[in-house]
Amino acid sequence: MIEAHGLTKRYGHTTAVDGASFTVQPGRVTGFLGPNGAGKSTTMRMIVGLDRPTAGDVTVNGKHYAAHRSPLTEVGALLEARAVHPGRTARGHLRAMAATHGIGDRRVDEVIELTGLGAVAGKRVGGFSLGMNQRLGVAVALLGDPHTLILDEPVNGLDPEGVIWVRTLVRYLASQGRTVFLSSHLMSEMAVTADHIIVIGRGRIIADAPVEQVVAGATHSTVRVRSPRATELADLLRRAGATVDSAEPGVLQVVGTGPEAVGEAAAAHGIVLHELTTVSGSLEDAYLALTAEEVEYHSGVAAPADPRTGYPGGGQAVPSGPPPTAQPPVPPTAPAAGAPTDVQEDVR
Amino acid sequence: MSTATTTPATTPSQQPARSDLRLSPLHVLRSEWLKFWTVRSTYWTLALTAAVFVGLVVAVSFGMRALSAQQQVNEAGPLPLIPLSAGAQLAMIPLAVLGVLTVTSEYSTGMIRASLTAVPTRLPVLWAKAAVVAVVTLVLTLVTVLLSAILASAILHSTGGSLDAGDPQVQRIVLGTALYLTTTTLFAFSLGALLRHSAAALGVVLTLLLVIENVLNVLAQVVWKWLQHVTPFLPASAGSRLTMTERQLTATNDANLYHVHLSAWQGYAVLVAWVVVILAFAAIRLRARDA
Repeated sequence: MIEAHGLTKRYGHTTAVDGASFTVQPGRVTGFLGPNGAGKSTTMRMIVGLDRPTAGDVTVNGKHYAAHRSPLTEVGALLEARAVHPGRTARGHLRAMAATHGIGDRRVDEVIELTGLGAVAGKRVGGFSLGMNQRLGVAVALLGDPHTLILDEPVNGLDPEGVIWVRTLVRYLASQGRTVFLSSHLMSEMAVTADHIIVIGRGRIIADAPVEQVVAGATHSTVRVRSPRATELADLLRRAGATVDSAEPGVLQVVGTGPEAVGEAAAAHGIVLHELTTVSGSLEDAYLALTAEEVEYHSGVAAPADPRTGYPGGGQAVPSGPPPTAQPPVPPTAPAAGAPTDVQEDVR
Repeated sequence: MSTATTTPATTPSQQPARSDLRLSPLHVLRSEWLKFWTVRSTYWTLALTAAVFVGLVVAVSFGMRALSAQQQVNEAGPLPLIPLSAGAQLAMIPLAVLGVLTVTSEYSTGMIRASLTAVPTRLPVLWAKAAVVAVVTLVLTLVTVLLSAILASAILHSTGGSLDAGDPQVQRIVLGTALYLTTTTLFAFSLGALLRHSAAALGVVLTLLLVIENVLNVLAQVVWKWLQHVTPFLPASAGSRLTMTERQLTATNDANLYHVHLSAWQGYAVLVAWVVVILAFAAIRLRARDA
């Protein structure tokens, strides 16, 4: 179990991590999601004591990482795949790391086998691809057969097979009751790998919830309506409490109410509809919606007049951006699915 | 790489008694020993050191025999000791490279983050590295100096200057040359640990030991005589006294206008103090800074 309380890291005037509090529970895979530069790596580096927090505290199984008698059997970490002397062989690197804890060559061979490095174990690391380096990093993390695994972007540079391998491995390790904390900037990867997701943006924890809730809470379904009397319909819907936006004349994007309600309202006032479609958001939309505000601030751009510009390359139908005011990016109304989510509550 | 998609069925679980596994200074020492011997630069710097030392001693010995500089025996001490200091001057360079690279390569490659994750208490890494460098360098230089002394003695035998192994001065210089080289290597290591940058540390070490000290010593004799208060305490000037013959030592002390006298071992202690101070700063920096 990893517990962070008000974890903060500042470099000069830049705040990399800003009062992050969260708990990573054992027995499940916890994803740590955020855009590049959001503070994921810094947070992970603070967990293993490579960086000293400016404020706050983080413990692993109740103690600071460095206070453990046997850190490598407590926590296995892959923080930076390139953190290897290129002139050393993979086996040489593993043996040196293992030796610090008296871990024998048998275990070194085991992790080499386990990570599929058998064929290249005797080769110098300098010639390794990023994918092979990642595997070596995972091998180091597994050396101590640790209770807790911290993996920073473990699938970076891996081929599809490698991605599946990491996914299988971390799920297996979590099923054994271990704590698994892995970061990614890819929502799609997290959605299939993690049970629980902590979203970080601009150093702050934006969401901390089971994966389904993050997805459901952040992807708000939109109803797309086309009607010759669109303006009239928009007024009706707004009065009913929905958020209505119009991208082109005659077409409405409705958030905060289902297609049934829109259809009924139209029928009640005899408004002809040419189209009534539910557009559900994708995982990427959810992620972008969660982090959009953070990204905007990060790049120093003021809240744009057109809310859609808040989504960098959001792609398909993302009709309602965050309000131009500094509201939380999650829509205040519950999504079509119903029940309010933890995401809402944890938004700060 | 395609074979690894298999389910990790055999992963952890069947570990032997994991309670035996723990971080300890001896384990860290073993780790640093492994690290030291698994990079190529170790081998070529050590080989170069031995080659340069023996090569230069042999060359100088032959040169001296050709000149048959008989009179130097009386002036400086036993003749075959003279080439050793030339060997030490040159061997200092590859050894400085070894000392610096042992620690700075961790920073230039990012390996330090892996090392400090495994040893989050940090300082054991520094001490273990220093110990490995010291032991290896001492063994190598002792063997090299002994071998060179024997060769020099054999080459200069015909000129009447052979070494007496029972002479305390000879013993002190043979051991002292090895100690001096080992300590300058640690000096380089400490600066590497403090500066964390190969080029910067090497630049500082070599210009300081080989250029700046010599320039200051010349200036102290010729222009700014007051510098003689300070120059005996410069690292190489002080430490190299351990490699001097008794006569050279007396001459050096007599030449100091302000009567700053250091014995061979006092001089060596000054060099050790330099190393201790720099290493202490390196340790403070290692503890305090983010890796």
